[in-house]
Amino acid sequence: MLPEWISEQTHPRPAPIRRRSGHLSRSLRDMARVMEDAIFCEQSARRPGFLQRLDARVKLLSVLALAVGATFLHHLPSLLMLGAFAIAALLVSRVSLRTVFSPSWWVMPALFALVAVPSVLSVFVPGEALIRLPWGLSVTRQGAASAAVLVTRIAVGMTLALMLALTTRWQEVLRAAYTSVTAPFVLVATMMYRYVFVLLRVAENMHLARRARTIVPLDAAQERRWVGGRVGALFLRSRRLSEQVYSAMLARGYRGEPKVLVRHELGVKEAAWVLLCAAALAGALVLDRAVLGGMRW
Amino acid sequence: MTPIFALENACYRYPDGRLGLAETTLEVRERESLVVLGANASGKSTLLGLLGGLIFPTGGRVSAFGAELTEAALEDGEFARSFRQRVAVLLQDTDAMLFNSTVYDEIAFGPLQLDLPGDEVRRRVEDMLDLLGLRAVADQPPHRLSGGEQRKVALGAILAVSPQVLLLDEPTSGLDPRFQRWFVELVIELRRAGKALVTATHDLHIADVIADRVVVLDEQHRIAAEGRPHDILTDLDLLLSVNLVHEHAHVHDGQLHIHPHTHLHEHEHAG
Ligand SMILES: Nc1ncnc2c1ncn2[C@@H]1O[C@H](COP(=O)(O)OP(=O)(O)O)[C@@H](O)[C@H]1O
Ligand SMILES: [Mg+2]
Repeated sequence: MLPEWISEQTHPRPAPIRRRSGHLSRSLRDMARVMEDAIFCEQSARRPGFLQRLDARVKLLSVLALAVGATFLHHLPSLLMLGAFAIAALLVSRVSLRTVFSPSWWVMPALFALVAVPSVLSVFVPGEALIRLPWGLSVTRQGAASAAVLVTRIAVGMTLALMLALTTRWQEVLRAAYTSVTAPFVLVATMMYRYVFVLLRVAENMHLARRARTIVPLDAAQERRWVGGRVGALFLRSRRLSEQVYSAMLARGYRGEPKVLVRHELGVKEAAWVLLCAAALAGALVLDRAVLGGMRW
Repeated sequence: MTPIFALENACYRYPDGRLGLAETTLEVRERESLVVLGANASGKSTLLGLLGGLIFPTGGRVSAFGAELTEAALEDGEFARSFRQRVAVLLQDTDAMLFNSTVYDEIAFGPLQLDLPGDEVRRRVEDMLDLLGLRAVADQPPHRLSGGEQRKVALGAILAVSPQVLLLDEPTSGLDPRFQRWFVELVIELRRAGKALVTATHDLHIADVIADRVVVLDEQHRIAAEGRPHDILTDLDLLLSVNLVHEHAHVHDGQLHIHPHTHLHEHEHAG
């Protein structure tokens, strides 16, 4: 039997809608969408551009080669030259600057900038004073230059990685990375890709379920507590679900090796791209060594 | 003729010690439509898991196509491939079935794992999209679709490998009558194409419409009865004892009638 109170008609009149700034709740709701667009950049990967049409293996290797090459560059102009090459390639491939410089692009360089802050000071890198600070400290030119190079190198690395990430579907990246040596890593990455995808959906549903049951808007502290609780529940649910997803994959014939539909053939495009990358890298290295190497920074 | 599946005293206990399925002996024959009826937690999903080679019996044995179905057997690539190609599983949790980023990829996943050539995979996906009426959403993530569409994608994903037998765990639960009718029509088509089906459900109506044979699981996770749908579905005492109907159900004109527990508005009832 239903309890008495459930049939009592004592509902308050509908109140006017209040604006609220539930930042956490909004971010949870948007999480699925944002993550999808950030991690699974499938939108730009499906656009018919130059990089999108390249063989994923060639793209993966070329990006790795350029990233390794970037570690040999010690001067801002040569690093920026390589960065400009990556941005040009992305623009030619119909990826907008807004997509490239999304919030997630800024995270890594900003973090490294933060870490590099002390190194500009004279106590860590002695040298010519650029800006004098109290207590006999100063920002040195040498310190500032090496910090700038460090941060720029990270930013260029990010941009290079985006040449792959924004123009290649994840399944293809994983397929390209699959070799007998890398198989275990690719396996883990494949499973993580599936789980993140499924979990985001669960998170979104949980959020909707709470929305439906919330009567009074929560304050910020309650909101945080709720999200904390959700993370716990999500973790429990995720364990069960991940087993189920794995079962579903097995049942559909998954045997550990990623398989994708799009298989590009190696052709003129790939050869042209490899030459372009080699030219860009060689140009940057020559600029770095021969032209800038002799200069004092 | 060897049956597709044979369970001989097979039982399953979950790692935490809970019994999922008590000792069960059962055969699934070619081209038949078997419905597994049972209340919640009676062991339907466990039984389907055993048939689908997703879990392995903790006692007794399960064989498929004449070979014993063990973890070791399914680690053999060739056996696994032929088994997965013949046996398709629709899990109860649709969320778990949809793990690709587009509807297209979801349907292509199975055929790709079975190493079908690219053109054949594309053809199958296209045909499935048409069959399911999902062409317009082919590039969307499956989870942004409605519940009925999601279930259709999951069904399309397992049909795309053209299996010989389909194990369907509560395929219509939670969906509206229109989906149920669509599903029944799909089953009729599949039967015409010679597929065998094992469908787990607690929906007596679906059982009545699609079954050649019904097995009933009780709340002790055992087979309580097995027989032709008409015989099972008109056996009120049986259905009551396994908690598939409540005491306000009754039979007349050979048809099962289920009434709500109490009537909101009194009405006369002849029979
Ligand atoms: N992952 C699991 N771990 C432990 N026990 C489980 C698990 N899944 C199911 N069970 C138990 O096994 C029994 C049968 O469950 P299940 O096969 O899911 O039933 P049905 O599908 O008929 O609802 C239930 O008592 C249930 O609690
Ligand atoms: Mg179940």
